[in-house]
Amino acid sequence: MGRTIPSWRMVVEAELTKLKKSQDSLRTEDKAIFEDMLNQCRLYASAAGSMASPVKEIPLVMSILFAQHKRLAELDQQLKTITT
Amino acid sequence: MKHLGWILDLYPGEPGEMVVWLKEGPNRATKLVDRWTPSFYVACDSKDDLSALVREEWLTSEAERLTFVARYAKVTDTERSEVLEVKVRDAKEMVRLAAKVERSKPFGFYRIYNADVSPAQTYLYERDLFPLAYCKAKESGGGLEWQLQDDVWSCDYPPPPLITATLRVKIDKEGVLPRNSDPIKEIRIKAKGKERLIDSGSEGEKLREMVASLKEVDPDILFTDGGDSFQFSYLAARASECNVYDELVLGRDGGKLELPSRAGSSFFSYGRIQYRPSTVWLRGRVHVDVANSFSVSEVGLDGFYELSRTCRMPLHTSSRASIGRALSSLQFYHASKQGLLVPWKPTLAEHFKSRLELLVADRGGFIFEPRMGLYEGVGELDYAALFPNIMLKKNISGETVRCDCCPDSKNRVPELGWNVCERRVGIVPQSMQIVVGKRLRYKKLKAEAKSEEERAKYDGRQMALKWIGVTSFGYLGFNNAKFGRIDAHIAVCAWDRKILLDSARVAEAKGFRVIHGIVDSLWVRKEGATEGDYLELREEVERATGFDLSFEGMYRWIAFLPSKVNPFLPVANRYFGAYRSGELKVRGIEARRHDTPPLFTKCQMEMLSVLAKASGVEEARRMVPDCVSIFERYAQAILRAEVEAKELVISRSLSKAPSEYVSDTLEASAATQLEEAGVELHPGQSVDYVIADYGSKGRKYRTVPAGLLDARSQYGRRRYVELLAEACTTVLEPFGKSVVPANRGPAIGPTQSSLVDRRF
Repeated sequence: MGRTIPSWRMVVEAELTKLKKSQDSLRTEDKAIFEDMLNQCRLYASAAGSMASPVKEIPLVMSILFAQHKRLAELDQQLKTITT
Repeated sequence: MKHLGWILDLYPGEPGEMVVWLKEGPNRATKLVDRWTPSFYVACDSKDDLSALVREEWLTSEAERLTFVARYAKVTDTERSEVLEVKVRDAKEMVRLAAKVERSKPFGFYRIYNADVSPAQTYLYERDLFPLAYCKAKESGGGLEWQLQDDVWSCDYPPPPLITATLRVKIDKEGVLPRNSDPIKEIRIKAKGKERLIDSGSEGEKLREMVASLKEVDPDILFTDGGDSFQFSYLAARASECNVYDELVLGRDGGKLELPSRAGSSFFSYGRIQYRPSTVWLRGRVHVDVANSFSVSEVGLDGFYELSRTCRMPLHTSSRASIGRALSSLQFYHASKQGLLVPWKPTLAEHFKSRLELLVADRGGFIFEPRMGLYEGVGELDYAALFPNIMLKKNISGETVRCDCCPDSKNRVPELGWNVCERRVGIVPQSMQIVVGKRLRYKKLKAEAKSEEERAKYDGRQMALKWIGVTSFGYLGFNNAKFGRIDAHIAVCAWDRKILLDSARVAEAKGFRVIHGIVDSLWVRKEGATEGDYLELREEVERATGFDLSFEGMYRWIAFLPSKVNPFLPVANRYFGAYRSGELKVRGIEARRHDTPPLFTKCQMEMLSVLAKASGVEEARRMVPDCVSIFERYAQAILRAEVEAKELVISRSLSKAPSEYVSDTLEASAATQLEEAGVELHPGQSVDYVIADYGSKGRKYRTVPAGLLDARSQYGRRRYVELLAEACTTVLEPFGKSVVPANRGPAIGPTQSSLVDRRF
């Protein structure tokens, strides 16, 4: 339909496939956590794609960072709720 | 002599003639002949070289007239240039002559225009007529003078009194599949509420009786099922066999049945191979092959008539044309009205972009990934015909985006800052005006309809226009489109991203949470929100964006589903839910897929209909056991072989020729068997089959093609129950349940919980 360069979601899948080797080298209990980390790149693909970054690792890392930051913020809130 | 009626059919006749059939009354169709032939145009950088062409004897001998005229040669031109108009003697020779001109010099030396625009369509454009238009025609001086008594913008045109008939042929098959060598068993012609059965006498007598019956019924439209791909070639073969081929006159012009010179073609489009058979014309009658008609099968007769009228395409052509071709005809009409030529081989290249610009530009519409789960009280807001409206309101067209004439234009593409022309309206927005305008009116008329018949009529018409709208966006960036340019396509996407994001911001500012958003639809939710709140939101979003938005409704409950491949990830446009009205909305699941067996669709929809009665999530959860009972009932019917095999047919498209398949896939199994039975299959054709011995190592035993099914055929019951269980789990999973095949233990089991739920 008129697209010239691969869509960001296609780039995400291609890059995550490359990381499979790394994942395969992990212990079994760590693999699921690694997979969950990679899933964040898929979950935030819309926002990451909007960056239109020529360096594709940047949106991937930002997606993971953001997910972790968000998780920290949620945990922080939960902690405040418990302690107050 | 004067005539008054509806334009039924038209085609080039003898050299120098355009034949037009006018339906003058319930039982009268008149053949009129106009003196007219089309022209193609030639442009060249050098006037001298163009003048030299005029002196070529091989051209002057075949052309009716050669004239220098002023036309816009390129869609981006702001001034007319001098081109050579070549009026041909015989419309059927136009493409051949144009090719000869092009080949006379190196490619690109002579640029050819309007050579591949159908003569019948060009006639309609020039005369400002359209199929099924009500007109006066006066025969005068060997030609016709037309006076239109109709309006292409009319939404309430009276349907012409057309006689329709259906032709069905039953064959005495020797083998499992029909062949040209099999004799005719019976012929049925259904028309005017009666069915004529021709089943006695020799084959030659049957064929003669068929011709006589058709002549007596005299239909304006003849429907077949497979007329293009098999039926007519079969009848022609049998007629030849019986030496009555010269009497096989099925059209109104007295000529015997003409078959196309080749069977059909396979082509690659939208990521897959497709196949289209060649067409069989019945002159003076419209042959509609329902198996080869996108428009009739998708939008019905009312939509088909609307498409032909609006896009000015003869009925025979539009019944087979893709929507893209219909849209092109609409664009060609507007081009002809403003003196713009239609390039035979378009070369409108995109503007150069740097790598960074391309990264920003080359993106699609915006998507908010769905928050997976089950919700109550979600409201859905949809933009009406957003992309066509963007083209219309922002003047987006191949020649208007980044035009040379308006570098300081105030109309700029978001994110990219590209200028858009302010001096002229683009050819695409001009074409979209009637599509958007009429569709809006039809939707209103449909809502106000006083009867079901009236409602269906307006619905068919608006659906036809909706398809044009949907296609218009793709055509903006389509490299084979005459007026397409990727920059326009990019501009529309950029506008869409801005509009959807702005809409989400307005919703969030009012305390709503975005559950899902995709291109032109938004699902939002606010605790305790009423319909009034949603309507207020709709108005605010409309004011903020400037585009019409409709509130589709609030959901009693709606489930946004995970990916089948990765259950922790959401998938856009895969959901189902029940509006407060009780109406279901289903997207992306098995019931919506073309390749799903009919029985599975019935089972899923039955389950969803039960759940739709629930007023909310909790009540729906309590209905899950009822849904499991539905699954068990269907599963037991399959296991007891009580289901007819045709209810379990799976339909898949062939990506290659049968002999090219290496793996023993189910498609390869079906295709191989069909090939062995003598069926010629092409990539892109669909094969219908039933799973037989799923686990078999032998390719031939895995499936039974639908065409080879007989009373002894057995289907793989266990495999079908497994597949049915998967389809039913799709519906029940959001409610925390899954189903497993009935003979494998408990019917209900818990599903995996999703880690991702808490991420949003």
